[in-house]
Amino acid sequence: MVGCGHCGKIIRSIEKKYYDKLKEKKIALVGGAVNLDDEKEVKKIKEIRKNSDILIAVGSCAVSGGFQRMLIGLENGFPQRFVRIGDVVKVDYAIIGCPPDEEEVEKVVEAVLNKDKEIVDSYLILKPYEIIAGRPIIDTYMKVNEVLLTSNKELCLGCDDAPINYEFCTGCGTCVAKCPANALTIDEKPKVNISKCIKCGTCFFNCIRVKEALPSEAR
Amino acid sequence: MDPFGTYKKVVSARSTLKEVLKTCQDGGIVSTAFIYGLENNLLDGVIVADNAGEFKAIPKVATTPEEVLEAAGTKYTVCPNISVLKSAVREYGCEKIGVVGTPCQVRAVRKLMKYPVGFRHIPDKISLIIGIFCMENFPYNGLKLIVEEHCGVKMEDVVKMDIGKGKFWVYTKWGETKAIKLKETHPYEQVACHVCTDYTAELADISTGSVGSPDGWSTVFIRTAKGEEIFNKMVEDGYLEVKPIEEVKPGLGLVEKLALTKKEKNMKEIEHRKELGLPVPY
Repeated sequence: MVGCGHCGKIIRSIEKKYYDKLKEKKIALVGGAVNLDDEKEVKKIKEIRKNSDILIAVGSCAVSGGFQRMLIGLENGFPQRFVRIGDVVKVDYAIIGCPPDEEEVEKVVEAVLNKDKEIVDSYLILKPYEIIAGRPIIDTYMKVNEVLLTSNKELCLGCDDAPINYEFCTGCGTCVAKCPANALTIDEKPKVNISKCIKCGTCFFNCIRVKEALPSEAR
Repeated sequence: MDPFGTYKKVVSARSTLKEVLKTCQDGGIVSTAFIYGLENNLLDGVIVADNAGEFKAIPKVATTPEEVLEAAGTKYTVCPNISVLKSAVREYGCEKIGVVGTPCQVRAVRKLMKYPVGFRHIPDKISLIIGIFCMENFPYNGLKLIVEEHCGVKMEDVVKMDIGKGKFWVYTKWGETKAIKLKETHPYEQVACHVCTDYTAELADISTGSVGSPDGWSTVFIRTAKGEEIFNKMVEDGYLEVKPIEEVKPGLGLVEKLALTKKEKNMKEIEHRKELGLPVPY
């Protein structure tokens, strides 16, 4: 799908390593956001979903829309709209990060491959990835059904300057340390510098209160 | 309900370092452990909560025993310790890091070690996690209000704060002591603490706190093999003096009582939230 290409590089090297096993179990790794105005691309992702049993979204663009959410591209004079994969098809596991750690992707792929009821650990490892795949980390401001063709900040749902619900924040600072873009500052409670934020969602994934601490509008 | 989580042993301990005992809160366990680690090359950088004046806490990466001493003593306010963990590795170049934190911060460290998203090469560099007992925490403005309005002491005159025997104590530099009932401080607690059910930092290597031991001593839970190794070395080298917990008063019973109080109270709050349809933790 559409992205900078780093996730694609990671996916390629993982696919090289596990090619036979991935093919056997029908597991697909997908990176990048979906361009809604490109019919071929939408068709392609739907086909991938149809042909695979397990679909893993790799990287922030695929999971939450990432920085693609802020783009309104102009190709041949027509605006392009980007959404996360989860808005178009169902995603089973989601690995967040911009870029995601190759070792981490490998760990998840291995756990999915060896998913065995007796290996409790592999279930424990996979659970958080399942949770973030099942619900929107940051609501996309351009959904498939109600596409808003705008860059208007007032209509943007992901542009809150509080990364997590203050009601649950204990002020530990994990999100600040994890931010790849250095967009967070903390004085008791974290604050986002919107102009630096790339909407990758790493801060949510790492919050110790991740299950309940989504910002109010994303719930 | 299990009040303490898993642990290997529990003792009552006190530091033998004079300069630590001068500034520390109770037994000086955290400061002594970090000083011992830095002096004996077990750690090369530690993350502590520094006092930025008037009991405002800011996280700091300390690389010398002097810096650890400066930061000794409890600050009853929020301090985002984990936020400097990445810069400790990337900017200070530390390879063996010690972290001190409240139960939620210990939980955060364990979580980021398990899911190192955007945290490459850092989890294996964390070598000691010390947790402190925590009932609840105050935002800085709340703490200021308690001290200035309820105790009637200016923040700049305070030298030490303490919680014990059901009271919140404030010691001024003029030698005065003020105390208010702990009940009066409840409205200023951080709301986020009301859904936490961890009192003794159950995921740490070593967890410590004043509860259960006499004045000037600390109760210490040793939970992991790593924690046990360092603790035993400290005792052997004479950095700590140790008493069995059975011999001291008020003993482990009080810790158990408080841990269960926190768990029951906050489980109730969680159930209440469920009934109202509000989001709940974990």
